Formats: sequence, C-alpha cells, structure tokens
Amino acid sequence: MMTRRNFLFYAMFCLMTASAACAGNTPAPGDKKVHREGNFFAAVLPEGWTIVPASGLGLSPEEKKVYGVSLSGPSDGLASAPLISAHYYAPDNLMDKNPEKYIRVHSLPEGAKPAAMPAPPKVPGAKVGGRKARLFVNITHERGADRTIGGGAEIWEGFAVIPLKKGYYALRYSAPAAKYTQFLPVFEAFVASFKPLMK
Amino acid sequence: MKRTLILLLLLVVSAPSGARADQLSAADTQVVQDCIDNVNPDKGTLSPKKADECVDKFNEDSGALLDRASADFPQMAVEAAARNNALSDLRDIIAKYDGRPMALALTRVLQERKVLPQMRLGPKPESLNDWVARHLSSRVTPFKSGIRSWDTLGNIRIQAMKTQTEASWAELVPADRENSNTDRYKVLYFLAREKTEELLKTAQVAAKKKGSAAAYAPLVQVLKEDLAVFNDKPRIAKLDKFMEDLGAGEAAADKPAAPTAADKKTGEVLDAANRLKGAAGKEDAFLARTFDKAKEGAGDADGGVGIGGGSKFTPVPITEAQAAQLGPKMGEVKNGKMTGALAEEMRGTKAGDEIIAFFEDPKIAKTGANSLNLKFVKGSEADGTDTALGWYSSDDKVTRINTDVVDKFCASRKITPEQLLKDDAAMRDLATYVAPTFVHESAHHRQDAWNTSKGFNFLRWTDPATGKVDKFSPYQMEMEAEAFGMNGAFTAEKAQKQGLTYLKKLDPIDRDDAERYLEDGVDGLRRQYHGDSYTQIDSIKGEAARQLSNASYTASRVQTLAAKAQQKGVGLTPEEQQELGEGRQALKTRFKWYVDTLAKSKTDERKLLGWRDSIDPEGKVLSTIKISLLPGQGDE
Repeated sequence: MMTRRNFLFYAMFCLMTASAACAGNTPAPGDKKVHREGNFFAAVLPEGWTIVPASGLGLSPEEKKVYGVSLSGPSDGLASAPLISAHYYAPDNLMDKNPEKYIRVHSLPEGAKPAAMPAPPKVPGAKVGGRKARLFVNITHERGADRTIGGGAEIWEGFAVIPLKKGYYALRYSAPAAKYTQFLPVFEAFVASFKPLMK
Repeated sequence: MKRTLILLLLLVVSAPSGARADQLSAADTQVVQDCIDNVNPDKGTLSPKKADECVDKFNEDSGALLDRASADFPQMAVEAAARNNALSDLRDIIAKYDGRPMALALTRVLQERKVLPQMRLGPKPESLNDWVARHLSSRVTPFKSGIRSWDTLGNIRIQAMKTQTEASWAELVPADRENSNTDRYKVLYFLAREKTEELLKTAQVAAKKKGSAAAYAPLVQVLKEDLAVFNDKPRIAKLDKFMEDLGAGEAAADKPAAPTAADKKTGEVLDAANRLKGAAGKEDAFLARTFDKAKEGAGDADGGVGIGGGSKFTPVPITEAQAAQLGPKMGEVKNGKMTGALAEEMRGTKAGDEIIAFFEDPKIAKTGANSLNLKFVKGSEADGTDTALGWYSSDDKVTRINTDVVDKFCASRKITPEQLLKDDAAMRDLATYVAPTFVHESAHHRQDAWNTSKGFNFLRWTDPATGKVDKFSPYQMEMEAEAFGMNGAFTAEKAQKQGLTYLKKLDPIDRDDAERYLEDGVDGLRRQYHGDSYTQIDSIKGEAARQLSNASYTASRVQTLAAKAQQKGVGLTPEEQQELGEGRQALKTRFKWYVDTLAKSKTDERKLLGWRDSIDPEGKVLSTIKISLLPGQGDE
C-alpha cells in the first residue's frame, strides 16, 4: 500500500526522471526502465540486465527483512555474469543488523595485500540520492569445480552503503576480476539513478 | 483443458449446500484452473512468473489449497503442482547460473527428469530457445553460450571439429557430470587439449617469429576458454608462454587482426595439425581414452592441514584394520551418552551441542533412528565417494569419513597411522580436523530421522519374491544448505573461541564454508554449492516437481476409483476401497512432504542466521577466517 509520505517521494521521483514507468508501467521504446522496490527505493535498470528472481527457497525477503533487487548482467556464458544488487536492510533484519557490520563483512581483512585492487565506484560527493554513502571494495572468490580454494575465479566487488536513521541501503557490484572494470560504469550509473524512498 | 474447467465448475456448483470444509470454493477452483492452464503447452503460456504465484498459493496455509484440490481432483493437483514447480526451477537455473554449471543443471532437469519434457521443454536444450526468448529475453546469449549452442561456437571451433555437424552437435547433451560420458563441454575441452599440443609443436617449426602473436590470438583465446572450463592451468600457462614468445606484448598494442584473416590462419594451423596427427574424427575415442587423466593436470589443491614441517617423510596409508579402530575412538554412544574425541571437540558449540543432543535423544533412540555408526573407509570412484570428505547413507544409517582425510592428516603431521592411534594429542587434532565433516554428515543423519518420523520415506520398490519393501527419502538441495550451514556455523563458533590457531588445523574447505556462511549466510552456501559440486541434485522446487510427478499414476488411480465410488449402483470392491484409501494417504503424504520440507528449510535458515548473528555480531570472526585463507597465512 502506498502511504501518503511515500507517494510524495514517488511523485518527486517521477518528476525528476520523467519516467514512462511512472506513467503506467508501459515504457515506450528507448525509455529507461525504472524499478521500484515497494516503498524502499527506485532505480533505473541497466539495459540488457536481467532481474534475478528471489530464490523462493528458505526465508523470503519479508521474513529476512531484506528487500531489494538483484540483476544479472551480460555474460559470454563462460565466466560468471556480473551482478548488481540493491537492498534495504530493515533495523531488525536477519542478516547484518547495521551498516558497520555489513561493511566489515564485505571488506578485505586488515593485513590483506592483494596483487591488484578493484577501483571503488565513482560517486560524486560520495552522495547517493542526496545521502552520504560509504564506498569500498572487496575481493572474494568462486569455488573451483574441483572444490579447491583458489580454483575458481577471483571476484571483485564494489559497494555503496547508505546508512539511514532506521536501517540502511547496500548497493553491491560483483564481477570476475577481468570483467570488473568493464561493467563498473554500469554500476556507477545504477548508483547515480538510485532514489532512496526511506528516510 | 476447457472441458476440465467446465467439469470443475459443474462439480463446484453442484456441491450440496452443506459442503465439506475441505472442498474447493469457486475462487479456489479458478486459482487451480489458472495454474493448470499455465502449464498446458497448447495454450502457449508456461510463464515462470505465474508458476511462482502458483507455487506460493499451493504452499499457503500449510498447503491447504493443495489438500482441497487433491481431495477432488488428485490428478490435476499433482500435475499443477509438479509442472509449476518445474517451470519456476527452470527459470532459476537460467537466470542464476552461467557456463557449465548452467549446462549441468539443464542436463539434470531436461534429460534426467521427466516433468519439463511433458511441457515440450527439452530434452534437447535448443527446444528452450523460444521459451527463453519470451520469458528471459536478456538471458538469451548467456543461455545459448551456456549450452554451447552450435551458433555460439564460432568458426575456429567449428573448423576444428571436422566430424561434427550442427545436427550431430544437437544430439550431444550440453554437460554431463560423469567423466565417461561425452558432452559438448568435454568435446571442446579435449579438442582444445589436442590443438594446444599441436599448436605448440607446429609453432616451433612454422611460426616462431616475433610479431605473429596477433594472428594466433583468436585461436589461443578460444583454446584458453575451453581449457579453463576444466581448470587446466598447466596448458593455459603453456599458451600464455607461447604468446609471450611470439611477442604478444607488442601485438597487444596493435589492433587485433581482422576475424576473417585470423580464422584463415587458424584454419591453416588446424589443418596442418590434423594432417600431422590424423586426429580428425577421433574426438570420442580421445575422450574415452584420456579424460580420467585430466585430473592430473587440474588446478593445484590449496594447503592441506597446516601441521608439521621439517624433514623428509614417506606417508603410510591407513589399513582397513586401523581404520576400523578409529570409528569408536572418534565417536560412539554408550548408555545414551555420546563419547569420543569428536564429542569432546563438538561440545560447547551451538551446532555441536545440537548434534550431540540428537544422538543422545532417548525418544528418538526408541526408534533406532539416531544410532551412531561411524566408520572410516576409503572412498570409491564407482559411487563418486573417492573425492568426498565424508558421507551419510540413509540405506544403512552409517556415517563414513574418507580415510584419504586421515592419510592427508597423517602426512601433514608426518606420523604413521600406527603412531596416530597411540597418540592422544594427535587423535584430538584429527578430531578437530574431521569435526566439521562429522557435523555436516550428522546433520544429514538427523534429516533422515526427521523424514522417517514424518513418514516421508516413500516406496521405491517391492521385491516380488520376498515382499520386502525398499523406501527412500527425497534428497534435495535444502538438505545440503542446512548441512553446510551447520558445519559453517560450527567452524565459525570454534574460530570465535580459539582464533587463528584453531583455523590453521583445518582443511581450507572448512574455513571456506565458514567464510561463506558468515559473509552471505545460508543463501551464499546454497548458491555456491548448487552451482559447483552439487549439480546432480535438485532444488526443492525441482525435487517437488519430480516427486509429485512420480505420484501421478497413484493420482489417476485415486481419481478413477473415487469417480467409480460416486456412481449410483456401482460400488467399490474391498480391494478397491483399500487401494483408494492407501492412494489418498500416499498423495497426502507426498503433498505434506512438499509443504513441510519447505517450512523446515525456513526454520533451519532462521536458526542458522540467528547463530550467525550471535557468533559474529561485528564481523570480526569473519576477518580472522579471511586472514586464515590468505596465501601463506593459513598454514604454519
């Protein structure tokens, strides 16, 4: 249900983006496709990226109190596709209770000295949707087919985390290291389009 | 299907005013009818989005709608639930996975299962082209590439595969888990191995001149792609060296050669190589001959246990007699109490205490479902346990740990198995080393007991000679998600208490599970493992499709008998009455398995996420685990 307060945010967002999606969910050819995640946020979907459905397995987003969208990018079908996600973490969520924990969980540990580091996303003024954001990067890995550590691809990640009075947003970009730079501008454009609907 | 709808509505309309509470309302009927329509290929819908809605509806209120539908229309209820689950599962596979993991999963659901082909989706993966274009349009390219569709192979590969045509290629499955079975990925991999060797030889004679790297770059790129699928790092390194020798650095600064020229050069190289080796048309024989040796060239395993160091030592494998002594020393239950080194290792942790409580539960002990029978045995290539750390079998209720794990432990500690059995400190360290595996397998033991207690062990077959029945419990990915969550939580909590010293005693695999658990929770483990080493098992949705579909014969018999029972003047024989009752019960049990298993996976995940939060509220334990996994940090 759309509350009055959220309707105002929504209307402002529509004015700012002149999005066809706001005018009845029928974007004309060439229009940007806006995704609105309940009363939590809205953002322009990158062209050619697919919304990855919530798993439908285990706990639902409502049960975890983590709401958002995950997108899968172009892939040659060999390496893993790049992924972008945006989620709102409610204060009593079941994953990471506060942004500090989230940032620590998804950061390189102290003492790590990787041979190369991903570049953090470029975000003007470090502000997303007018709110202060924390920008950082991470390196993780896929498991190899032979179950050895390091057998899989190195995955580079870039993040923008936006703390709120209640809860926080986490915008995440993951790609095989060799593809990270290629799709980083897509993530940056996604971040630039991100409109928080929560205070 | 229109006829069905009319029949359904007539039955609803003609229901007496004092209708049973478990009867379908008109609204329910419409919901079920819409779900049936969705999975009717003649109507051309097969929408995964609608399938999600149907799956949700079927699971609401503990499966109440499914119960009501199956009471009156069992066959349609089975079909609607099975097919909509299968569609939702198919969408998940194509949306979430890429490359060979996607291909393996598609082989499973299109070739090995029967539900999707009932909707004309499969068994050949190309039969999905229209469906993917309609419902997952932005995944068309990854899908085609993932199944190694002929039109994505490119000229280089097609020229190299002299004996393959588009038609013969379509007959191959995209990917098969079994090394001995041919598939598209293996054909390309072995071709790449062969062409790599030939290229390196040919290059010594014909192309060893600086500046020719650009001409070879497209071929080398293709070879590397196909080698990388099986992690063939040694050959990829050889190709990199080859390009370096040809001056790839200089070439890289130039504009890459035009595709036509590059393909022509590639063709010449391949033709020469084929003539030289007489290799054309031998892919299949080559596959059969050499694939098992591929493991030798696979990536290096990281670490091993980080214990010991120093002088030369020749490892001594454990004997069967020595292995037999290990089981009881590690863990057994006496007078209702679990004892042994593993019990000591697990006690005082959330996951460990739960497992001990399971083995010591007197109520379950009355049924014998929690009897601990721990054995150390060598894994077998025949059943795929050769690479497993451990496994639990619901057939004989035995938990087995692979003796390779013990051999690895002894080798790293530079002791013989004989010394191990006499050394209490070493035995404690072995318990530390195998405990995460034991927690994992014991979680499966507990799942087996849960299934049995609920009556979710279905008839597989009855021996006609002896009348003995063989039963099984469905095995699906949520069971692994819970088991990996359990061993991840266990390792994380031990790391919280004992830090890096503890982590250094573990296999990197166990540290990695704990890392994934603390990083992205149960979802992270589920996604990772279903994408790599558990591609042979279905998601809960896929398994639901299979199990419910398997009940379709029972459903049709129930429907027939129920209809006969309602006919005036036509009664059921006592045998038919019994069959009807048993059939209804069998369907009810299968629907209950479906609903209760989904509910259980939620309960498990909620608990595991709660533990995750309490074990590592600030993310510090995860940092320690990450440090232990850095090169040179995890081992002493």
